[in-house]
Amino acid sequence: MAAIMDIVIAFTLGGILLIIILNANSIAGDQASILNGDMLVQQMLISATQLIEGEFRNMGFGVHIDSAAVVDARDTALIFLSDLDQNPSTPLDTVAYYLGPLSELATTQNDSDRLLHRRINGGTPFSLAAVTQFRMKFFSQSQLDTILPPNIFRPDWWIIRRVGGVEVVPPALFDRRQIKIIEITMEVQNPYAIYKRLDDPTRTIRGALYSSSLWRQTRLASQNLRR
Amino acid sequence: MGGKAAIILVMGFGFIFGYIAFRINELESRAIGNAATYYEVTASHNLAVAGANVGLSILYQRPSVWGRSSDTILTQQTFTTGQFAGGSFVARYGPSGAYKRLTSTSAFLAGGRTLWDTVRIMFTKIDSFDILGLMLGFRGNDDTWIKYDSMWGRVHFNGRCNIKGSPVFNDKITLSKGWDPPAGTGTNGVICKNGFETGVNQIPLPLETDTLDTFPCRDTTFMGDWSFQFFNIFFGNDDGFMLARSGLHNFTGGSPTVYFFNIPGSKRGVILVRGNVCIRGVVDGHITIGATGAIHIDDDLTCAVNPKTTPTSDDIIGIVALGDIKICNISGKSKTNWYVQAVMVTLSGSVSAEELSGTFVGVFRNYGGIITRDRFDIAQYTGSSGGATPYLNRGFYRRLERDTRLAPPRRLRPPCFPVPDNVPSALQIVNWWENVRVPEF
Repeated sequence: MAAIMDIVIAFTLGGILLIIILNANSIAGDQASILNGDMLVQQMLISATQLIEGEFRNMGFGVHIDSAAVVDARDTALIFLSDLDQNPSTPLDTVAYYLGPLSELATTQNDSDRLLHRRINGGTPFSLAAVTQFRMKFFSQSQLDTILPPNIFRPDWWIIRRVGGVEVVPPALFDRRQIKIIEITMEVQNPYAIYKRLDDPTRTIRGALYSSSLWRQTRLASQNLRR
Repeated sequence: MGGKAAIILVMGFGFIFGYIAFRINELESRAIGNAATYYEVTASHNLAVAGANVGLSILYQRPSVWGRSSDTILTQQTFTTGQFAGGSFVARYGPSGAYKRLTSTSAFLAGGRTLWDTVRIMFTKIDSFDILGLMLGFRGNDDTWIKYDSMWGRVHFNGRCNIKGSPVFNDKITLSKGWDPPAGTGTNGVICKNGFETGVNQIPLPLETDTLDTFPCRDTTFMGDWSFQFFNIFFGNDDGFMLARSGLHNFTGGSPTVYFFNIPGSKRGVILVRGNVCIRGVVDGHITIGATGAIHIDDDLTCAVNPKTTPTSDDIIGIVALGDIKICNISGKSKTNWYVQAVMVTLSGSVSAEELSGTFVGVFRNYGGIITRDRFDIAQYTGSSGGATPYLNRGFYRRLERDTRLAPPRRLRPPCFPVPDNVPSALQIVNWWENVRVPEF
């Protein structure tokens, strides 16, 4: 009888321990997935931010002191002039950063991710990163004025919020030299949700678990815009 | 037997849980490492920028270095404490093609590796006329700009600029003493389309002795008070002449002296009046008018070929007054819109409007440049509240524009114009380059 009791208790304890191990393994797997996702997202974000910061800081290199370095701007796009090869005898380069449409990454589970493109001199776009947010705000010196570029709802006007009032300017008349400071917000998320299979009908729901990382450069000012 | 099994069981569990914890911690560390890497590369970059700023400061204090034809180490510093602990930078200065170049290179020890960053700043040498459209030597506090005043071209104030409303500076403005009130507060709604800079060192203004550059090469000296009216002969270039009459504001009475101011090999176009002079008319050619007293601008003074619409025009007017330059708004004159295409310098006086009485309001347009030792005071103001209310009580709004021909590469000047000896050439930042770090994952 005692031997049977020993065996039963041993099985019970062993079973409990086995359940603990399986549960611990499951939790560890979950955490590893989340952490791995976080790490990948952070790597993607930091690699993109380093390139963007570096290139935006050189915005206007080689541009004449009285000329505008910013060619055009939107809240999700920026086109500027810079001498990328630092060769004054060659024409200035036109550098464009812009957010692509959602359709470019329609096959991923994440319904908000898009490609952030970089294009030089109107050539073939280079996809710099997959991001879920890329927004820019523009300011005059010392952030005295907030400069709102045209957007899809207001394509024909720049709005400048000045201390003395609001100024509405058509694109042809807007003096782009006023742009001195850029605030950039960028968010990167996993293209695929954790624990969501491709055939899961709820995979595109925003509540799905995506690793996410947000970066905001609140006062990016190229020295070439301040000469 | 049971005891051994228990020990093996505990050790086994310990190993399993330990391994799991190790893996999780490793992932956590790598995730944190990303943020740490970003911090480290930012610190390294900031160190290089700090080195560049230190180098700029040294250059600012040591103009003797500016002309160096070989690479010179301005400073090198190593940090053992603070944000840059483990870092160092070297700032060098030397020639680089057509430019001078300051290079700051930083080395920052982080995470067992050394991060390198570089900042390069390119300079060119300029004198003030190259860039400035308006230079006010007045060091006081009440040079006032109001809504509807506007300026195209760079501006420097040795004093403080008082703002009421929203005047527009289309190019950069530098101020030695700053704004009154500070930008963005109170009545100051100033619009600086190409930025502004305060706390800039005062620029020494032309001295009377600088006229030695102009007046010794004069073609003719007129003694006493005179009135000059300029005329354009339509069938030739640089063949304008003037009628000179004795006395101020005298453009019709008496017998005029006909004077051709541009005769190749004979007259360069430099006239000195030892007294006061009134001027007006259309100038075909290049002329510098100097006066030991005041120069009264009696009516529009323009070039035969408009340099604003025709930048290839070679007509240019220089006005150099030891005393004041005055917009001649005397009693009975109803002219409210003025246009002067001239580069004007007052060596001891101000630019002002005469007889600011009555209630007239007009516009003073200048295409050229203005350098004044004292005030630039052509209006009287009233009111103190902000917003859109105009504050001009009487006088002129300012519409000023620098003559683009004064700037490189053309650097056109009125003949023998006093580029002041006591204004040192300055180094101007042409370009600023910072290295782009390629992510290392």
